[in-house]
Amino acid sequence: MREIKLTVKGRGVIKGFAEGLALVSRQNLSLWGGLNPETGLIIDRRHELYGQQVRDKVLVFPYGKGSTTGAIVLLEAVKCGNAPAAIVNVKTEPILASGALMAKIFYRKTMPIVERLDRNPVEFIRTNDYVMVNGDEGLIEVRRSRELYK
Amino acid sequence: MHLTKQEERMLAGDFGESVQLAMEILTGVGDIYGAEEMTKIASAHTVMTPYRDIMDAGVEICERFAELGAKYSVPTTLDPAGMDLQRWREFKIPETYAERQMRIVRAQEKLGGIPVWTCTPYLHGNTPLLGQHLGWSESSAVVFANSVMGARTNRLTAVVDMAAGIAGRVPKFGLHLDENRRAGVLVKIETGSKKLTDIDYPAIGYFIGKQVDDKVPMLTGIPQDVSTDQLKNMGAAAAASGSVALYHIPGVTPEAEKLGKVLQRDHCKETVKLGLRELRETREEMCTKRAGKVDFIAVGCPHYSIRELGKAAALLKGKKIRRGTEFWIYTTKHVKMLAEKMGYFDIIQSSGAQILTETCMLVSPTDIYGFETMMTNSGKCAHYAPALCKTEVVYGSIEECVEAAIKGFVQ
Repeated sequence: MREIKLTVKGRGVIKGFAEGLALVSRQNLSLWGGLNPETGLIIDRRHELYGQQVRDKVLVFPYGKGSTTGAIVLLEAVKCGNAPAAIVNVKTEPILASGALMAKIFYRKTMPIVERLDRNPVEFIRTNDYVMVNGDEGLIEVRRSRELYK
Repeated sequence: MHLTKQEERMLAGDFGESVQLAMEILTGVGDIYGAEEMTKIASAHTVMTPYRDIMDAGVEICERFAELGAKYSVPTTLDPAGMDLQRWREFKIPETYAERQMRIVRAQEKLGGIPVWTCTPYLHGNTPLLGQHLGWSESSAVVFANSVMGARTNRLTAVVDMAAGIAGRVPKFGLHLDENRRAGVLVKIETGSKKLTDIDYPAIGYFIGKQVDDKVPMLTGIPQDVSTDQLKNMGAAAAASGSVALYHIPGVTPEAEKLGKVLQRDHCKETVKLGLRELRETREEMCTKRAGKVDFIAVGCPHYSIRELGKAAALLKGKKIRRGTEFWIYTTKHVKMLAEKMGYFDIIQSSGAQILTETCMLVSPTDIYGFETMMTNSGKCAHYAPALCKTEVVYGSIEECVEAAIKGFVQ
């Protein structure tokens, strides 16, 4: 089975290394009213990712939106072991970045975030691609098996 | 980031662990966003208040700050709690939940938080002035402070807002800077001969939020006699459906005048039209259901003003809420006190409707009551209700809400 491998450069918002299966949405996402930290599920009925599990995934979406409570939702998700492994945005909202920063400060959890890639991540990354996120250098590597690429 | 000598000492721990922790958080955020320096703030507003939202991680962090002896160094107001702090037993809030909520209350008291427990601090003792730098959370309050008062704050978040109140400063980036406060999109509201009324403003906000995301819109077509409540409700909806933190209305908002030259139409790269069709479509989008049985009517998101409460009382006078239907009005303790003095409270109580204070339908465990369909005149509430209250939602005017409460259904 041959693999497609793609490395794209962007800007590291939060440092660190993480990897996992991608969960991709073209819609902006609000953590409050969007993510249930106790289950790791997306609970926004109007969102295309409704019902999806974010735990250990590389979450890919354009921008954050909505409530300023957001960061604590991420912190509770970390506390419950349901946080995503990493996040990739077109542009990272400060509320989300603050949450990941504080995950490190309060819970020693590394959750790298990368934004402003050379290519729009929601266009070239697909759900279930394997993504490695390097927040130190702002790089992501995307792997997709040929079989899926049909 | 360039820090002053004082700020370096704060970060080094010279003023105690809580200040050091606050500065670690604030400088961390500043570095991510390329802030060159910090700015002192006139006030803060924190959302580290409702148990349902901040959960055990939130309780832990509030208590951690309290244990470290943290004290807010600038006036810091508190957002709604996760239950009516007086009447929670009546509303069947579980004891375990209430116990956690009271731990948050006590921790925030220790820090010196101002116990207004409202999302409308700008109407309850935390009134910013033009050009003042602030450190506020609560998206609906941020957009009001920035737009209507011309103050300057980013949309902070939980914990960062406490850090801002403790350190008395925030990293200077984003909306603290002139260049980020210019309009980037023009929204032309054109409804012809149809005058805008209360029900239109949340829908206008909802539409704007969806269209512009986090850009700064300039709005034309808003009448000069638009009211405080109408702007309050419009902004809240825009901050919920999108991430709007600042808008300009020529002749209404203070910076639209002052920065008039900068906000001329040719600076706006995009134009979006909001006509009768878009307004109607938005109102439909705000509903998950348009007709049928309604068992819960909730208004007061943002918290009802005394004017809004008076209007609800006038509609409820001599009427009775249908059995099996609840009508809850959310506001502050101060407004409730005024309502008692003005006779509104008696009218509302006689109808069977309830006034709840210091909380709201989105941050209290509204899902425990098993309501199926909620009706509201709030754009922000309509947006979040399906996920947070686990109900269908109907959006309508206060007149339509009262009618639905009396009949038990909406047509």
